[in-house]
Amino acid sequence: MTTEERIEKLDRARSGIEKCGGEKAVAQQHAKGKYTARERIGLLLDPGSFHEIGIFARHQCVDFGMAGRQIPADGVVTGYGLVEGRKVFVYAQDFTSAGGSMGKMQAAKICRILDLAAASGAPVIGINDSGGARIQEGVDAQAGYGEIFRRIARNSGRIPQITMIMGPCAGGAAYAPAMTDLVVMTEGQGHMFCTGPGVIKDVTGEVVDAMALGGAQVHATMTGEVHLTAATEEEAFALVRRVLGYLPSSCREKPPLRRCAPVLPQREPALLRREHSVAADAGSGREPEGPVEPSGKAFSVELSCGAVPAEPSGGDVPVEPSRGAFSVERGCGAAELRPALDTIMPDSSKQPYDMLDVIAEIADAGSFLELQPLFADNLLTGFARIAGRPVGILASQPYIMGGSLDMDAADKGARFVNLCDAFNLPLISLMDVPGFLPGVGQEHRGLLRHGAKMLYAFAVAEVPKITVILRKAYGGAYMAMGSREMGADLVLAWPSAEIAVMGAEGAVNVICRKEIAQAQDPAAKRTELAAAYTEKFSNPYFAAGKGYIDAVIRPGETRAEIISALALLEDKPHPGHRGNMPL
Amino acid sequence: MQKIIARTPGRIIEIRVKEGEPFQARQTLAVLEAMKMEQPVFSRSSGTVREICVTVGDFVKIGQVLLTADE
Repeated sequence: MTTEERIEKLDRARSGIEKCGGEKAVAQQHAKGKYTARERIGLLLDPGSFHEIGIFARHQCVDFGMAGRQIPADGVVTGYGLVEGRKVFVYAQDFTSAGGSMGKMQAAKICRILDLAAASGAPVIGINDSGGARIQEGVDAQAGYGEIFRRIARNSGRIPQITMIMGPCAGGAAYAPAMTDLVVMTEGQGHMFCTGPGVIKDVTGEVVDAMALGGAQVHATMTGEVHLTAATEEEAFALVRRVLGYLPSSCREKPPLRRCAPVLPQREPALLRREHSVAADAGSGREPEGPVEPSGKAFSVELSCGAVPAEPSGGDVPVEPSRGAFSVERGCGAAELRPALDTIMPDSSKQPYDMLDVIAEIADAGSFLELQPLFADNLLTGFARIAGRPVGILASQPYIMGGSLDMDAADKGARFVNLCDAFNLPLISLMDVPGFLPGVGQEHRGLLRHGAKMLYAFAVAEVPKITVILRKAYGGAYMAMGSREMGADLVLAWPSAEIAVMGAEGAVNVICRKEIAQAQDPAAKRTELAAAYTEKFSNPYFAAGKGYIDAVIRPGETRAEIISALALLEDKPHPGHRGNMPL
Repeated sequence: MQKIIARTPGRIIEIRVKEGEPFQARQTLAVLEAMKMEQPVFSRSSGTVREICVTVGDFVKIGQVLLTADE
């Protein structure tokens, strides 16, 4: 065979495998509204950046008719490439080739990617679409899962691990996503469960279909297993590319700075805007929505990344991380003030407001990406940028359940804090929490066990931690949301802050029981004492006087103060690797 | 039919809709007070109120059905 013939043979072999499971199987995949593994990698990565590893892998199974059966690339496409110019590793199960089933060789290919990613310090994106274990391979298939799980667990917190569920993912396979940092699922296509409808029917008699058991809706609202859902595959890949933009490539790096180029004519100076926005928005005091970047942005970005030209399209421009670029004395320019926040807090302490409106003012315009938005939505978690710096935001949502913390919220919060801590994302905690949710059900199901995770996570997190007490800070939840004593680096409070062990009525019932009982009019006495208690504690100055609060600020100054605090804490040392254990 | 439930225990202090009335997603249908806070009761999707199962002043348990609605 001549050299030329050998090269031609290689070309033929490669292009044969690149056809995946063949025309018919590919047509079936498309008919289901799904892309093939190779098309998916094309959608995820920067064009032309994919390098494949292990294309010629072949299974060695000879039992049950497997001898001589060809499975292109053994049902998984693996390799590396770029996302916005940054290195990532990827594996994509190929449903068109033997149902993307997991055998020993497929597992070995995935393990190879996980090892290479750990060694080179780059994220892994796994795209799951597989019928499950290749049963013909017996224990080899199980062992394969084990090899993968061990690596995912050991890589946890070292490199970001993101899983996309774009088809079936059942049984052992479903534990791999559950151990990774973030899970994205396509609606109507992805499903994930431990035991499927068939087994459930046999064992418990319950009748359920795959989607009702473990579809996107279920995981987004009930289990919290899925962080983001997407209506289409294109949207799912856009989400993953966006998520990667908030994360460093590994725990050894800081998250990438970005600038948001101005997309509209600059706004009027912030201080002048107040009257207009109040008038325009019928007194709600909210800014009209829109991807508006204030002039102050350009100013802060000049300092942090002057070398990078603005992008006229208005898209985000990735910027190399730089250290020491922010200076504290730069302080808060008037352009970083957000007067809309001054009118967001209702006069009545009982009345709710939407914390998402607060976040929209504090974060760079359009930069907040909420995670698990429909699960335990009494606590908000998500990534954002503040003056170009990626941060993690943990926020009470007074609009839902009064912002109280229950078991699900505690798990959600704890795991998010761990994620931020693992990947050097400063934590911004926005606190308005009336307490942990009371009730026999919650207590008996382990509210303490779950709540403790949140306390533990916050206490041990070494990233910069900035807490803003907007209003309520009651009981143990005050600590769980990140008080000074729990290790917050800086605690700011709005004038509406109330910090107390418990509500005024409950408190006086305990501490003034005799006095109330002996009064001529106990109800009036209780009200009077409660008012006195409220007077003493329903303000931030009592706590500030004792040093538990560093500064009481105007709400409108919150963004500016956080920008300064982030600059102040920029070089806070981090001891290094922290695993992100599933909670 | 969708069931709109209480997410925390608490007292119903206001009901803002009538049976047969259409509503929008996230529109406040009733207000529940608990834990020093007023909580809006709402649905994530729009619909029409079929039945109102509570009255103002009722103390409700977590998970209790407050209203039922048709999509």
